[in-house]
Amino acid sequence: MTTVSPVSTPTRRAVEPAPRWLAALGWIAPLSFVAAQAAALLTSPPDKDMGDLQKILYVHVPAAWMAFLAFLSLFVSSVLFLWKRDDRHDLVAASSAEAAAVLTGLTLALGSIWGRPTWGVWWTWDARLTSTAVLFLISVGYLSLRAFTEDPDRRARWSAAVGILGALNVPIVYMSVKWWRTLHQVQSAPSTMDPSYVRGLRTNAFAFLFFLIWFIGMRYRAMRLERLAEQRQEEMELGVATGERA
Amino acid sequence: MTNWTYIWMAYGLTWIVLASYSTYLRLRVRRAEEAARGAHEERGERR
Repeated sequence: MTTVSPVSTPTRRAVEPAPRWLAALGWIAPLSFVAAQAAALLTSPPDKDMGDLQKILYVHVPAAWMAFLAFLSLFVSSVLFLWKRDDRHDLVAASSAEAAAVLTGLTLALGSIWGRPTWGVWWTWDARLTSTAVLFLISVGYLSLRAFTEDPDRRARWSAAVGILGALNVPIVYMSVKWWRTLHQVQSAPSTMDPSYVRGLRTNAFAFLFFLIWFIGMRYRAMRLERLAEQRQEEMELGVATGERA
Repeated sequence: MTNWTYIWMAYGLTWIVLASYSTYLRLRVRRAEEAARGAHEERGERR
């Protein structure tokens, strides 16, 4: 028979320590990132059309992929929240949305830096760029909605709905280069590029993935602890009020 | 600007964004830990 010590319950302990995998990722992510970036910068050959500018691929494409993954996580956790009404899913959704906003913003900025020397413009109202900008605005809108809605139950329900609708824009962004005539090239994937670039892309994608998981894990932990502190504060105030009445 | 200027801009921006957000998260977790610990201790004292 398994017995659970009351000391191990989250409400009794002052603060639960961070899970080991999260602490480890805090080191693994930046270290793998340094290695992947160095390999990409030093070993990949110049492209016959773009020359060395091709190296921007190793930051722009993984950032875009991870932004899509963050939206997928937002979508899944929002659906799970509406289905099961478990607060933890709401917190994962909020953590994913913040990571999605950071990574989509980074993707747009990197694309702009790449676009200037290759297309001659920092920005154009191309279908891929515009749909990505819309995706970014959706993630900012989601975070604003959470920031301005005080009732926790309403905040969770409304933001889950926005999260699901917002994530539905991801397939549109992904397919935009096929559905419309765009200045942006077709999707970059190991199957659409020279094998000499694939290893650099994969290693950088994994480094970005480690960062994404760590971002979501850390944001989730921060929100859980903030709620725990609020809950303890409320319990204490309630105790004082009850004591005063008695 | 040369091609390498754009490459360094892209890599530099990536590093700045990832490092800034990582630092923000570490500080936010630390502050939340302190708040939770503080509330726990205060509750214990009142009891």
